[in-house]
Amino acid sequence: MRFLHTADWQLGMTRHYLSPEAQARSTEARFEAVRSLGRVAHEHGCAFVVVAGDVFETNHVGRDVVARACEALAEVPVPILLLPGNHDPLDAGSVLRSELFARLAPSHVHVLDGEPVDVAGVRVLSAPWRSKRPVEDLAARACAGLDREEGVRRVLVAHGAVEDFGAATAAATIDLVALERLVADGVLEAVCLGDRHSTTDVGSTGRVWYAGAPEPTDHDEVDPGNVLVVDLGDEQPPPGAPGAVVTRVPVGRWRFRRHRLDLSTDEDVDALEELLAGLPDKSRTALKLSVVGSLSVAQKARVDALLEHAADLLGALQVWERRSDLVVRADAEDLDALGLSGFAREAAEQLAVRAGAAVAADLAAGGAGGERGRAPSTPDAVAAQDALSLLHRLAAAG
Amino acid sequence: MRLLRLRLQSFRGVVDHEVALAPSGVTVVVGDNEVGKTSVVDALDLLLDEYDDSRKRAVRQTQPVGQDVPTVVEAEVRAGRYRFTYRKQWHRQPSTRLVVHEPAPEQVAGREAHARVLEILGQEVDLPLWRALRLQQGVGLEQAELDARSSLAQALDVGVAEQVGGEREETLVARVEAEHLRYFTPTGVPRQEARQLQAEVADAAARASGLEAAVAEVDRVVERLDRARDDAAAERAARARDAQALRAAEQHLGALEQVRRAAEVARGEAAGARARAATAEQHEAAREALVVRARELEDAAGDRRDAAAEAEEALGTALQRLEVAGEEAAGAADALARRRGERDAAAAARARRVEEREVARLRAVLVAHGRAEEAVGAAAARLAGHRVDDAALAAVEDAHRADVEAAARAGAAAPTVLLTGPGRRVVTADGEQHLGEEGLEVRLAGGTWVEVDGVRVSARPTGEQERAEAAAQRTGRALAERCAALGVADVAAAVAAAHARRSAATALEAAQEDARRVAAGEDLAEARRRVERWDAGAGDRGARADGDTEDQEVDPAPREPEQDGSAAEERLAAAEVALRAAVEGDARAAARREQAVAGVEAARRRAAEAVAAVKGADARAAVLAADLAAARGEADDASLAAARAAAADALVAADAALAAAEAAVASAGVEDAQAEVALRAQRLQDADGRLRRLEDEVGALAAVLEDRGGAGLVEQLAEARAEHDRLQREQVARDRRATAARTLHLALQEARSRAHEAYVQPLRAQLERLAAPVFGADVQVEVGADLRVASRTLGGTTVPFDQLSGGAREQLAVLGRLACAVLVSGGAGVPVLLDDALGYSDPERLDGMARALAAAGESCQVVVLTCVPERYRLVAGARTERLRG
Repeated sequence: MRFLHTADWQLGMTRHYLSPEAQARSTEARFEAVRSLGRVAHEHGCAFVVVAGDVFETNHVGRDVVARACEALAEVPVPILLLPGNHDPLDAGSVLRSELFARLAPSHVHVLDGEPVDVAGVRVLSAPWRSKRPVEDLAARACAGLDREEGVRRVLVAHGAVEDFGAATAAATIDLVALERLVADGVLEAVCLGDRHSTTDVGSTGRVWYAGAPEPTDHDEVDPGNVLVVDLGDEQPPPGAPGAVVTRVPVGRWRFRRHRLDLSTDEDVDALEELLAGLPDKSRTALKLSVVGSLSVAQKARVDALLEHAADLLGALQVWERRSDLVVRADAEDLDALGLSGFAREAAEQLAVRAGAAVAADLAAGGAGGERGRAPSTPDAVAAQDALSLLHRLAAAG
Repeated sequence: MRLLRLRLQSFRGVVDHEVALAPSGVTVVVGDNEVGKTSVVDALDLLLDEYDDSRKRAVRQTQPVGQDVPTVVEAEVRAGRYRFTYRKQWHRQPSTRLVVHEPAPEQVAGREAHARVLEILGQEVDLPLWRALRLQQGVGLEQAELDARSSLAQALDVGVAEQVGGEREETLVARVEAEHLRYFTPTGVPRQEARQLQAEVADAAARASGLEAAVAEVDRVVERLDRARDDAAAERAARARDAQALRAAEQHLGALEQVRRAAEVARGEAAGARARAATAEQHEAAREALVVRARELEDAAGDRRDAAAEAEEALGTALQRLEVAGEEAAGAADALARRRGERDAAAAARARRVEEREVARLRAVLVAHGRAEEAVGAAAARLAGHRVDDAALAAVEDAHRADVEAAARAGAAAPTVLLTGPGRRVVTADGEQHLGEEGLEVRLAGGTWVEVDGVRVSARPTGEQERAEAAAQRTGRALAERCAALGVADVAAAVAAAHARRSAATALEAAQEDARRVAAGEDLAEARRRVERWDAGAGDRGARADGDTEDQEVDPAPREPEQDGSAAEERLAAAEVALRAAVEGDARAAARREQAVAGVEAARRRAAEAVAAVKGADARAAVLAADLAAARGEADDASLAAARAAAADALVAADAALAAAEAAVASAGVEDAQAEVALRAQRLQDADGRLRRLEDEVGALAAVLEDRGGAGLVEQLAEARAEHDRLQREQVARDRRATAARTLHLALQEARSRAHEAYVQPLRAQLERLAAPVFGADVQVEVGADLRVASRTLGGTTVPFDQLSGGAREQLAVLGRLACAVLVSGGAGVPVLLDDALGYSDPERLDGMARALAAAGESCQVVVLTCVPERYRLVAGARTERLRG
């Protein structure tokens, strides 16, 4: 008996750093992920699919998102059980309970509203979110008073954190220990969780999993882009016996990457160029760079050109301003390279002094001229650095 | 560069001439206008710039007019290390030849030579400066187009040469300027795009926060809706509990039902007893009422009968009254008839009196008329007796007049004799007479004669006299005949007769008038008939008087008409009065009779009504009596009273039973149970109300959510935020680019102006040195960054270049070139070519300029082209060359 466990589709999600075109690709990729997991379900002989919450990014998604979601759902060949999560709780504004969804959703789609659902010999218990701020452990409540029953194979679908991070919904933190006990006692055969976007086996039973988002949504996700095929075996295992076998299957197409680079030499810039050139599937890659270092005017110009080109190719390129501290320095060699003489040379030299003034002041004050690659800076220094880069560009033009 | 020698052949007006130029110092080349001193400059340009086979207009125009000869320009030049001779021939057999003398001999020809010359000059000479330092005629007031040329810059100051950029730097400045202008206006104000971007960022922020608010609002609605639904669910549960409580209370009440039902039965029985007692009382009361009514009806019938009797009596009285009134009416009618007879009799008597008086009067009229008629007859008879009427008299008088006239005419014809002799007797045909005193005149006509004393005197008539006398005789006869016909003697008698006839006529008219007067207004025939009728009726009146006593009384024997008439009038008036009284009496009697008849009618009607009333009252009394009898047949009065008493007793018993039952209910707590049921029911009702309100709220909120929810709000918000983000990034990036452009622009401009300032200084010093002899030792000039003179200060007064006089400007233009040339007098130096300058300068300034030229000539080559050599006479040490055609 196999089924497919997924979660956190977050259909209709947008990311501010995506250009409109990239956003369109990203949105489409989410619907495509649903189709993909449908194929995975078919290929692995899954009897049904559970989605452990956050099917939609929000209850306020547009009609088009609902319509396209239902189109994608229609292509999944097995029953699909959708759990309302914190993004799309089953409150008065619930999209899963909306007239539009009710009308468009294929007949094999079921919304888990807390009532047990028997499907393919499995009883699916659910802990839907009914508001954005639940005041209790919904999973615990869904299993309250349950004992192992012979012949009743239970799976719990829930959504939320198993650790208290001090969030506003701390009261709803899922008691992992209690769930593991239920698993150990044979009350539950598997617990399908959603909320964490990275695929994670939590606890020690090997039967409590976060499926993770089938398409990554952010840079801080460790292992997104998977769905889980859960094999419960053909027979109900006795209590304490090893049970469900969980297999992760990648379906996601997008990659969210984060890099921290030290750029101080031509070799560093070469490395950046290689990194950018080596990125596969650029149009579905969101890259976030934090850059530190000290570059000559010419090197900086090269870096700018590289990044500019990369931005044209990538799904998204963010240079993480907060973590970036790229200083443009202009030494005599640099200035010589500009091939300027007379007053132009003099102006360049003065700009170079201004560009390095903050560092020089720091050094004069006994500092190290910046720490951990972060150099002290002032608006005038930044302006002078930018002016030098511009000078480099204009002078290089012929 | 130094020009050493220049040879022109067939160049415009110059046939073949060579000019040797002083390598340093001033050379004045004098050329006539027709020769074209500018040919020198043009020849040099042509030599350096144009190929020998050039067909350019400038080249073609060098050929002398109408001569198909080659034009040749040859120059010997020193440029840095090089000294060479350079020759070009155009138009015919074009050729170029370069012979380098120093540093190493070298000969090149053709294009190669052209290129080689440019190469040498490019290495050694600042060609742009060469062109800039030339002052051409016509543009003499222009300052040299100087700039930071490298050779000039180097010359200006070796120390600052580093600061002056070349073309590369100037290009950079232009590019930076262009970049700067992308973000700022020429005056340094940020461009519209920046403000627009800022506005767009603000718009996007506003849009995002608006959408955030909308999303928050929807979230709030969702929360409220959830809460309302929860509340409704709670209320529904509470309501269920209330309903349960109500059911329990109702069950408890049901348990107490028996006691309550016994009380209900007792209450029902008491009510029945009360109803029955009331019925019995009603029956008895009805019987009493019936008896009273029967009595009343009988009394009423008796009253009706009395009334009928009275009505009958009244009818009798009325009939009597009618009888009396009828008699009175008959009496009054009789009296009226009598009075009317009396009045008629009196009227007839008065009419007879009147007729009698009229007949008497008519009779008198008839008598008077008869008498008047008789008088008329007599007068008419008398008139008839007179035959001479006025016409006849007139005829007589006409005949008489004719006769007299004829006699007169006859007398006139007869002689007249006067007879005198008073007292004497004369006899005439007429008789005898005695003469009077006055004598007697006698006409002797016809037979007339006079006889006096017997002497008869007659006269024989003449013919005329005879005719006149004959005529007189005829007329005399005619007169006589007329008179005879009328029966009168003569005219006088005729007159008298006529008079008498007129009197008779007058008398007749008077008589006729009398007769008319008597008969005036009278119809005599009628009068006669009335008189005759009266006279004929005398007997009738006598006969009628026999049967009419009153008439006899009233009309006794004929009396005096006046007395009789007056009495008759009085009688008639009295009779009229009596008649009117009788008429009134009769009317009154008739009215009274009518009243009596009406009284009788009314009495009769009342009597009939009274009889009918009697019948009705009797009938009603009979019906009621029958009813009463029937009722009594069913139950007599006593049994009714007994029944009432029994019912009253039963009521008392039932009330007592009810009180006992209610006391039992009270003691069983039924009321409390009922109150509990009522309370529970009220609570349930309240709960229903609350539930309804909650459900209404749920419905309303759901409608709001339906209206605002979904709709992709969050996606819109995300889009708006992304847009805001993007715009903000764009703005930051733009600001950064703008700041960079501005920073670089300002840095460059500042460095450039500093550099210019530094290298302008030597030029200025040189310029002031050369200008001192011209303007005075205290002259100061301001040189701009463009190396042009900006202003001149003299005696503490600073005047901008453009406002200087033409002469001063020309002098400064020359001096500026000289100063540059002096500064660049080293290897890269170039000659200064002045084409007919100083035309604006007065002699004093010419002297100064001559000194300046001489001073400049100490370190550089100056070539002055002029057709006025006198201007340069004062230039010390100048070589003068004449350019000949």
